Amino acid sequence: MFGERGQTAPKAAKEARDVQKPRVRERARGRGRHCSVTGTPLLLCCYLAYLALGTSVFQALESSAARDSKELEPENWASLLNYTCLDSPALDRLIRDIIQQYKRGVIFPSNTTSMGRWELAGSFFFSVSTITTIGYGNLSPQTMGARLFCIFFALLGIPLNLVLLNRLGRLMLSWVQRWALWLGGAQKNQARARWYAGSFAFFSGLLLFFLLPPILFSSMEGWSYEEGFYYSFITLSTVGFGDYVIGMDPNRKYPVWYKNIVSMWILFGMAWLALIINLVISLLESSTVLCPCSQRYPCRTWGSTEDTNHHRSKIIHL
Amino acid sequence: MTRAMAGSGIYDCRGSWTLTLLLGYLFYLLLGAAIFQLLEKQAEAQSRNQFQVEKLRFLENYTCLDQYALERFVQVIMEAWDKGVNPTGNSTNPSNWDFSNSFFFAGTVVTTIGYGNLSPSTEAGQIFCIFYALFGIPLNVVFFNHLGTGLRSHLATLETWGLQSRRYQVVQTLGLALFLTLGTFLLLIFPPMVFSHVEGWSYGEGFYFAFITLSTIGFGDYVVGTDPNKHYISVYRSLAAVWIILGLAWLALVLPLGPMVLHRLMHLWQLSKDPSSKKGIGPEADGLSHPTKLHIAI
Repeated sequence: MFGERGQTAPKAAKEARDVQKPRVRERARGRGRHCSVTGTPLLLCCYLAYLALGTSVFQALESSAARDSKELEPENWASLLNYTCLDSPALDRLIRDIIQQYKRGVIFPSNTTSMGRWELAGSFFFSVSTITTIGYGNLSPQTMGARLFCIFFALLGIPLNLVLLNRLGRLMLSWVQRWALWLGGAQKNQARARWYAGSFAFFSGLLLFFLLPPILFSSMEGWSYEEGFYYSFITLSTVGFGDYVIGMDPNRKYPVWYKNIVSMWILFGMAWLALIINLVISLLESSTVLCPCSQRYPCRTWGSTEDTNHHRSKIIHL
Repeated sequence: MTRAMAGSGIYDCRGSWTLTLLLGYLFYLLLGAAIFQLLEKQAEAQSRNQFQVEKLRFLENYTCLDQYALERFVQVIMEAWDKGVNPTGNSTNPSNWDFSNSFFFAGTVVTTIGYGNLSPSTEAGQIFCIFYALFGIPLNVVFFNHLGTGLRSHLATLETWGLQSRRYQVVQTLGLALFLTLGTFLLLIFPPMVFSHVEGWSYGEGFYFAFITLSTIGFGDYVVGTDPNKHYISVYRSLAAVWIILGLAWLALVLPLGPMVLHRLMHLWQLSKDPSSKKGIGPEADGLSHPTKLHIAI
């Protein structure tokens, strides 16, 4: 078949392959873009459904146990009152009891908000903190059943979360690249357009996810700006100490949109941060300063990363 | 955790780079431990002393105690607990911010576990924590990636596997499976038993602790080395930190390698049933030999 044009077979075959290659790449890129358009909302729906599942299960498992313990509360307080003539060992015992009840969520500082208990908002927030691996710990499962469920929930949820963040990151990267392309057309200098687009994306992300939210938190939670920034960073990096958690102050009224906005912020902020770190790491790895063998690594420019991703996504189904 | 899998062929360069990375990682943890200790220990001593004063005041007043005073006392207890002060202890308990415990804390920050039973309470400590994590988390990610990919390519001999004799393939795959199983038992099954025994937890609680730790969720409801009634050896928490790092490195190795080994075993089993099949398992079907850049987030 290839010999018809009078060329030698290998050369003709190579020509045919060269002709086919751009078409394959076009198709792959087209398929990739098609995937990233319809796949992302579906993935987002899956993610939300998974969170809803976790919310309902945790609430079911934990709130009934807490309610049972709460029923004993009047008796508890009565027995505590018997301790009015205390000595030191009795004091220690009292303190131990208090801490035990506190850890089990039976007694709360003053009167916690619904975020601090196993209500809908609290369970949802707990599910989010589990699968994003933030793990605040201000609320944690006490019953054996909830703990077991938590393990399996996290086993499936963490990869799901990673996949979603991966997809969101690529989406944001494609927006930046498209904008860079448009800029490049206007400026007629691709490399500089990429730099502009990259810096703009970096700084706008920094502003949107790190510098502005603490202002919101200081007005809603009464934290200082530094505390709000500390909270933002510890949350988005998924360290999640839990020493600062939003929505826990019982003396404040939080508007309805507040928690939803914060959840969106966590999701997109994490995706943006992961993207930045990925880019920094790829820059480091392709830099000849840090590893002299990097000439043998594929060149990591933005365009080729996208191509190689689409090509290799056939092999690694992620 | 970000997975940036670079080329697998250049082991020598990767070897020296891994060593440098390992040393840098260790040095970074030690540096963090020292600085956290410096920043936090004094504030902790102050909190403890304040709580002792509160306790003495309470004891003085106990004969005229009413419910409101008691409730106020309960609030004080809970606040102290949130700050990491264990109210049942006294000031002579080992500090939460001595070197071994600060090392543990630095490890939990850099691996993003973040238990939270202990967290910087001074403003300087919080700001330092931010910058420490800003550089430490990427360092952590790069470290585990290089460890994982280096060990993986060395163990799995990716490009040459398909070209070896059938017997070599079987022996190598079975050996690898045994190695992975032994390592999983040693690093993921055995230590929770040790922790349960030392801490007085049930095995279920120990396993729950191990899972929450190694998945880097880190609620902080169970943390090793925090019971004031137990006497731990001084390097207990440092050993726990070492276990965490080894466990995470093991996960970075096993999670991609495990399916690959299974895939190879299934392929070999198929071939054993149908030895006349000419279909070889090329490196492409393995799915690992082509280094892939996956934008997986933290």
